[in-house]
Amino acid sequence: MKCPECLERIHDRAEECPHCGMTLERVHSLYQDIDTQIQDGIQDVAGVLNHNSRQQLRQVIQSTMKQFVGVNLAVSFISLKNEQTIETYGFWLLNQGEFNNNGIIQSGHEEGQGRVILVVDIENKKTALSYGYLLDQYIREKENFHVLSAGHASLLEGDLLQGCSSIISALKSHLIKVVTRAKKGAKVIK
Amino acid sequence: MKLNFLQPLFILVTFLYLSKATVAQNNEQQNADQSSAQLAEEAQPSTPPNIPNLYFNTRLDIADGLHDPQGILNEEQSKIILNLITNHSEKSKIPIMLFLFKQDQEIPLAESTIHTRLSKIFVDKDQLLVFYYYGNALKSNGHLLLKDEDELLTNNWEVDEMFLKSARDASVLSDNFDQLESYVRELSKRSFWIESKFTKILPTEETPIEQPSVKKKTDTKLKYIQTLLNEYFLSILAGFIVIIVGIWYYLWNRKWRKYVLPLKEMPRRLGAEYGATISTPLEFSDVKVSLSDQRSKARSKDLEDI
Repeated sequence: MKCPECLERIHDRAEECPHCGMTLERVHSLYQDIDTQIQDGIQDVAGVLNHNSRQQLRQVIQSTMKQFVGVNLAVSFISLKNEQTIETYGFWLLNQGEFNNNGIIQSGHEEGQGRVILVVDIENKKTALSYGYLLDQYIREKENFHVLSAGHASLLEGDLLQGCSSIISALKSHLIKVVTRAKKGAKVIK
Repeated sequence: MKLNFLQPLFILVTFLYLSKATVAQNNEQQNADQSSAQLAEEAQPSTPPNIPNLYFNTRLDIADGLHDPQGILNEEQSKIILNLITNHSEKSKIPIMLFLFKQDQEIPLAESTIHTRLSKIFVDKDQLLVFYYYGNALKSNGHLLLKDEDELLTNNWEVDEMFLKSARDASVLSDNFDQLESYVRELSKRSFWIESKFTKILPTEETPIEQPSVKKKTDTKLKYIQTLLNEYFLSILAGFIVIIVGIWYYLWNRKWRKYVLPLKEMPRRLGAEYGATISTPLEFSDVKVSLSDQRSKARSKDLEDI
């Protein structure tokens, strides 16, 4: 486990980072002015999506959420400044974001623990994945990199919609693989 | 005077003496010739021919298919038998090689020695080797020599039976030559089954009969398929539709299959209620900063932490 702020290793039960003293409360002060609403899995604070792009991205997100019970996926476009970093923002939004998915979220798990947020920092041209405790056991650091790199080419070209779709598609494939591998633990319903 | 009187007497005595000596010499020579001829006559039946050398010599001439070094057959008989053997060779892939013995003769060699010598004589050849005892068809026997086999094919009941039945059929006849002729004919007929069993039957230029039959078979198959299509068209179509629907259903089902990720109890950290994990960010600001660079950078950072 890493601290989202200083990126040092921390204990998985640490109340605060022993290196930098970071907690959710402390981070909250950095982003308290940002709107926490995530409508249909999309938060476009940077204002980069047009209507069509938003519609298409929504479809991709919703189809993924329908396939994985308990997973609550969102994409956030933001332009971060000064002390704000993509890591702390992802951490903050994961816990403070208000998801409004029009009833797509299936029951089965505690709603927040299945959250996955793809954060795209338009200003600094960075992207990262932040996820809840449910996904902790399924995605490792190496696999994170693999999933994100699926959209690298499109993001370099400035095609945000295609880049995000590719990343979500790679995440889906990875989760199917992981669930199939762990058949004993995973329950497959039709 | 005295000399003149004695001279004719001396000449007469000398003449008489010489004539007597000549007669005696002639008699002696005649006696010697007679005795030598008598000896030769007596010796001939008592010295047997050298069978190993005559029949199992490695330099044996095996061109015509008949080996009769003792001259048992006359010229006309040889021609008839050779004709039969040649006719057989033209039709069969296993030619006949006939070794002719007298009825009471024995081969003074061990069976293994005979096999070895024959294998040396008939190198790389398929051959039907027949040991025929002229005047005693039932005593006759033979071997089948195949180039694919390492040695003579012996102790095969089908081969043995072929020789035996040919001999039985021949032995019915009373004349020795008729027996031999019948034996060769029967052997030629019966060897067909042996040939089809022990050699690979390959299509030759002489027998292009198989091609039309293959074509005929193909035509029959096509007709059969056409009939099937005509009569069972609807059934086949329905089968195809069922298969396509099945595949489509499988893919659709797979696409929309829902997965439930089992939740393990995870400890809370940093005061976060839902989660506190964030991946290493991926930069897409510069084309020159490749994925592999970013990955190695992330990995080295991880290693430093450890």
